[in-house]
Amino acid sequence: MNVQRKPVADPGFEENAKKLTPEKIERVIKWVLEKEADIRLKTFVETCIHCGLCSEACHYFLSYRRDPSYAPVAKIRQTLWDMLKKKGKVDAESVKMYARIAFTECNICRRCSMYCPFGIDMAYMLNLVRRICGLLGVVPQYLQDQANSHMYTYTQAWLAQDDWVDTVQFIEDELRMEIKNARIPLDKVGAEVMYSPHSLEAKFKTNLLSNIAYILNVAGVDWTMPSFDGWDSTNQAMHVGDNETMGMVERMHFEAAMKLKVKKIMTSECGHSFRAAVYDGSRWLGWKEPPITYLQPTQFFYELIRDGKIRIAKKIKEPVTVQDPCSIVRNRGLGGMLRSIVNWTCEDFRDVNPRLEHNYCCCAGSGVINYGPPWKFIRMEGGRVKINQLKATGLSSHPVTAVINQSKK
Amino acid sequence: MIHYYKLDMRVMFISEILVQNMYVPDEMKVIKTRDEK
Repeated sequence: MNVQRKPVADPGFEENAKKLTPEKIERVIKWVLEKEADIRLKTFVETCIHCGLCSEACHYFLSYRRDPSYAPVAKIRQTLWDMLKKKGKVDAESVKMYARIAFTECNICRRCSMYCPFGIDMAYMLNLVRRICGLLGVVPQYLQDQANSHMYTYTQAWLAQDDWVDTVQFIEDELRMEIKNARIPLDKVGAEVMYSPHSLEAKFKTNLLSNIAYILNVAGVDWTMPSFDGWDSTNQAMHVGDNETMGMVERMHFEAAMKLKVKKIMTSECGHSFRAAVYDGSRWLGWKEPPITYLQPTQFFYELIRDGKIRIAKKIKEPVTVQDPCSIVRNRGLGGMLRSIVNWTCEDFRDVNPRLEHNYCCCAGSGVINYGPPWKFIRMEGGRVKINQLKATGLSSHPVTAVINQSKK
Repeated sequence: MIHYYKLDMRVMFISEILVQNMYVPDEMKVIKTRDEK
């Protein structure tokens, strides 16, 4: 299938593809599909009957006016099946096409997998394509830069350790202007909870770390954060298909918690961080579940309110709706807790349709928000169905979300 | 053709809602809390 797409100049695709040789491409494809891929690949490829029922589940298919080339089954056909059919003997132009589809036309949201009558995990297969493209270096440049940052600094945003500690001290000083003797305790051994923030909370979204510190101080939670490597919960290497770096980052993250002997980790209000720690990262490291109880803030805050540690003084009066983040609702079932918190804190909650695990992806996840200016309008076009869904609620004020990427939409 | 979509909505995090609406005992307050300013 020859699909036509609007050209997008991304040096991560264009320049890196020039360095590829047919031998290297074939070697990498065979390595991933024959040595790394498990029985799921063979099962899924042989089970799919190309019925196309996954199409209506895909927000790209719906947003691009039901263009059949955006159907999940078509994306697999244009990428993975093409490689299998040609036994890895493909050219650099094909690799660029695979990369474009896997990185910019799929958010690995797994809505299609949920609607497939055979339960075929399309996201698993497109992740394999990302892995192949990642090993070949054909990756959106902005995303690769962030994955490189993880390799060198263990953070997504090229932050040095002294930047991190300075920022925490600054936020603590600010917080003490509101809450008496507020503390952001670093390296407290034996604390109940280790909060693991998003990189951006130490860069240009410091208000988020401040909010978390405010809540945990008022609720009287025994908490801490590491001052050393492993404090950052993000993991863009997972999106690139760089599983080795992904595993290294997650190992560092869990080792930080073990050094501090904490009982639980609470990640930032970020979907992919949760996915990286609980699913992809843990399993790459050989664990079925994380070695330490791992909580998303939605769950932690729900428990604090339920147990009376947080009391609600007043409610938001304006109408609100919610966006269900795929990583924590479709893939973890926290949609009910999210709605409970919204109902406890807002007077006029108007739910979206479809909702919970059936909700549409926001088109920002799995690294797509991080591809930078070259891909901005492609991404925004892909979010058309989400925008229309939110508009249909009739709101003009507050959608509520539990993860960071969606706020950048 | 690329369309530019813009929502006239404000996105809020759960943490932001809690900071604005949770009960803070008077003895913990240094000055007025954020939403009272």
